[in-house]
Amino acid sequence: MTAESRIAAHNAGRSSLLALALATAAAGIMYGHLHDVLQTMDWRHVLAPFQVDDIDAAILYYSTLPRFVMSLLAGAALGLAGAIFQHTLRNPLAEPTTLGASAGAQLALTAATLYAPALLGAGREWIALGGAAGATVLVVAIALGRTLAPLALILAGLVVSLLCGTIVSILTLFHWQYLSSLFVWGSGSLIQHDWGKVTYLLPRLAVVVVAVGFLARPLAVMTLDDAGARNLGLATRTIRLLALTAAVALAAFVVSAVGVIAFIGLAAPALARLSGARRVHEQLIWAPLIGAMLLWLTDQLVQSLWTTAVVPTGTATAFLGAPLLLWLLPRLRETATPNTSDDAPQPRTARPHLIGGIALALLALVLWTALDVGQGPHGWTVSNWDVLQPLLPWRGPRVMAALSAGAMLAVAGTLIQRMTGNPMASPEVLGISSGASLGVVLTIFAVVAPDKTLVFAAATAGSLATLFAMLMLGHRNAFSPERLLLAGIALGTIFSALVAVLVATGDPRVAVVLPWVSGSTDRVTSTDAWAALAIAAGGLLLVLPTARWLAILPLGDSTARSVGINLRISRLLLLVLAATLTAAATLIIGALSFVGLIAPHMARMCGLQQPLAQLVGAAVLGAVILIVADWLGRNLMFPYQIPAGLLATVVGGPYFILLMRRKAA
Amino acid sequence: MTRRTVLRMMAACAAATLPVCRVLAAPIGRRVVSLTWATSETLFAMGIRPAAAAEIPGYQRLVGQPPTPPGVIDVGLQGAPNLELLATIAPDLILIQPWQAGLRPQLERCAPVAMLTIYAGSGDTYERACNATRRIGQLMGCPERGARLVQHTDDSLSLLRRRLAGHTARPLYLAQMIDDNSVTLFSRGSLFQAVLDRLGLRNAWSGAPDLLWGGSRVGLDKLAADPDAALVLIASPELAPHETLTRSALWRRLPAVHQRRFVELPAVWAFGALPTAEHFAHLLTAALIRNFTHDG
Repeated sequence: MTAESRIAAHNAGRSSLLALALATAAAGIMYGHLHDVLQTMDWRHVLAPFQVDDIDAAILYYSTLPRFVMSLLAGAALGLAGAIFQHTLRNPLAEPTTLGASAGAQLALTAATLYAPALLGAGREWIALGGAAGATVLVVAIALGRTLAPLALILAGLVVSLLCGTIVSILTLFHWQYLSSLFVWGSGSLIQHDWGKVTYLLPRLAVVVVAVGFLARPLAVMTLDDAGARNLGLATRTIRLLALTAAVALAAFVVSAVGVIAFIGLAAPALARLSGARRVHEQLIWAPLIGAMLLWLTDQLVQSLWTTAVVPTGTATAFLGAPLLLWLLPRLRETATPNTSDDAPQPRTARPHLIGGIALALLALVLWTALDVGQGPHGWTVSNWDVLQPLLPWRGPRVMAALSAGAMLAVAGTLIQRMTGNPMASPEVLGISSGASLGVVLTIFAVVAPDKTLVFAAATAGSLATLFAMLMLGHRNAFSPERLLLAGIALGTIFSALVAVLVATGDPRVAVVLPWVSGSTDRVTSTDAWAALAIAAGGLLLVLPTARWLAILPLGDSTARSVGINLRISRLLLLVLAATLTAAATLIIGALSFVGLIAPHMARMCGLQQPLAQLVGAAVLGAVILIVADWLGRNLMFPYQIPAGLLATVVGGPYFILLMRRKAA
Repeated sequence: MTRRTVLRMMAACAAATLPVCRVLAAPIGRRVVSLTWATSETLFAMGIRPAAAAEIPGYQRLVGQPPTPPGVIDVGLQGAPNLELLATIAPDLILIQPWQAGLRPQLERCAPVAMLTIYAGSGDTYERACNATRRIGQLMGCPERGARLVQHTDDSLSLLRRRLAGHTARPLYLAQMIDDNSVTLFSRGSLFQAVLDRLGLRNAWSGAPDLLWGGSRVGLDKLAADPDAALVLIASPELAPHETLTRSALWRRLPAVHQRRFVELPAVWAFGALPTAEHFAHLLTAALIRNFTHDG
């Protein structure tokens, strides 16, 4: 036995131990459930199920067993898909939803339910698959010009997911009474009432698994970088496309059968890697096995904790998986991901002052429109002063809040992107707005009649707790960007899972939560608005002295250290600044995320490359985006209002995609 | 004749038997805005036309009875009404429920706000709906209309209770399908449970509710716990697909389905006030009498 194969055998041993431990726990709980039934049951009924008239046997045969099989199948498929994604995209954060597949599927189903219910008769699975494939093709098309560079793909996937999710949110806002079914579906319920879904899923998964078997060897060679693999005569783009297609198909089949099940695709490959399965073929074997055991265990836990189906399994995986991931983070090996975000350098503008002037003029124009032009009971009006005066107490605070929140999120986004050197980063990714939102949502549902002070207190508590957790985590591993992002995403997943559960209940309180979560400005008072403006201005002033750090940090840790920057202190300060700005923005107008992602990019793409110019430019652009979104939201469907955060995404998303395409050309 | 047609005819019959409150809309001095469907239907049943109401097309589609009188302005979503428009309307009173309490400070800038508690996750929802009705009457300066609506609903329910006597003593599961693998089972705290109590019927499901409006989301296996119970299936809102569930093997083997002890009702909005209670009571009584002719 060579040393290498001994290590491989040792690793496989650890992975199998982990899988065995998970399986034992799951089997134990399941035996506990079944014990009573098995004692009293007539076994002939199980062996001849078609004459079953004993209801206990029927439940065992048509509900318990298919649910067990489904948890194994779905878990394995998601684990495999996650392993392929993470390997192909060279990003440990990649998961089956990264390429927009599940968001696309959900959008297709929502739209079909509302506008073409006849199509549902033909099979919801096919609609879901169509949506998943459509979104994925769009993502690939966006990133195609850039030889499918991993980061470009993930970024495109993120934007398309966000867009699909936003459109679904808008539809939900106006139809939440009808769509509760979609959200149960969307939150991954494993309940079965016959073998139909198992027999649907099994053959489809089998075909993909065979295909993956053929891809395993070329994928292993691609562990080298692109150039190295090309030298070995591999058509890297074809192989990457084939592998991604297989992974998307796996995810789409699972989504179409049981809905979105969060985190298994992220956690299973990570657990496999941590337990020693590092090489490609080990990953392809152990990630699905661990995924299957993980979902089985989660599903059994869900069934023993709640006798009713108030928490769908797909949501519970997020609640269980996220803390697990946070706990595992310090043990994750640092993977030196080459930073390819700036492989196509932007033209640096020679005239930042000209651009600044144009931006300010734009801001003034937008401000005037937002305050003075709008729909009333008698149609569109451009108000003169007399008409405007009684409207100003309503419009003024909204516009001011939109301006401040846009600026704060943009500055926070610039800080985070510069600090982490990751173009996917945004305030949302830091988890602060998720934490604040979590506090608010829990309060609205825990207290029968929550008042505003209580809601605000809950939001503050939520963001502070998150900030504290992030600081603790960051402290332990010198603020490694990768880990912070992973932690933030984990929090975001918990939050969106919680919202999905709440929407699924069809509870009328959802009508209050949804507008808040999606960034509505209509609850802002003038005091709130002035406070927001003050914090935004103060934040911007405090950020200006950090310009040197922001110029050097993206160049990498060693560069920063070599010019004498204390990594720990500089990152800590930037983190606190970004978190405070995000918390303030979240407290005022809910959990927006797209502005913080998009405004810094837009500033950079306008040629504002210097940290200072980018910060100010992003702040102005962020303010403009949110003011326009708020104005559109007030007027597009008058008297119904669309929250500014949702519209900012719908307006900003396609523009961002366009910029990405142009950058590629 | 398809099942849907039958259900629609049943709904039409029930609506026809509904003795709609025939108070002619006498001029009410106060301009009121109703921000929830439960208060909207109460106002309409009292013969009061509000100046504005929330989500009128949605109300027409999901609640429907009593219909929205012409000339009521739509002020947008129940959870996010258009404040600018509300300020322009300048009403004398705004009606909300506790789950909208977060809106209160902003609404109070437009007009006085009255908060009416109907759903609290437990307790007697019917009693609270009666109190809310009386309170609306007082606030609107016509307490006799509130009292009359309460009396009318009480009378209807007593009449239906007498008609049901002797038809079935079985406990009932009240279920509404919302997707292809789970149902909402109504329990304590729901308006439907309160109606069951007043009709002298028993709920087969005694679990504590997970939802504010008194229900829990469960799989079909929970419908088998009481093998003697009958099953009342309330139709889902028209868009929700549920055929997958009624075609499933487990559905066909449920005792209540297998032994043909289940009835279907047309869709009913589960979060209403007295008019919804009466509507539901009529539908349920008609269906039970038709299906359980003898004490079975």
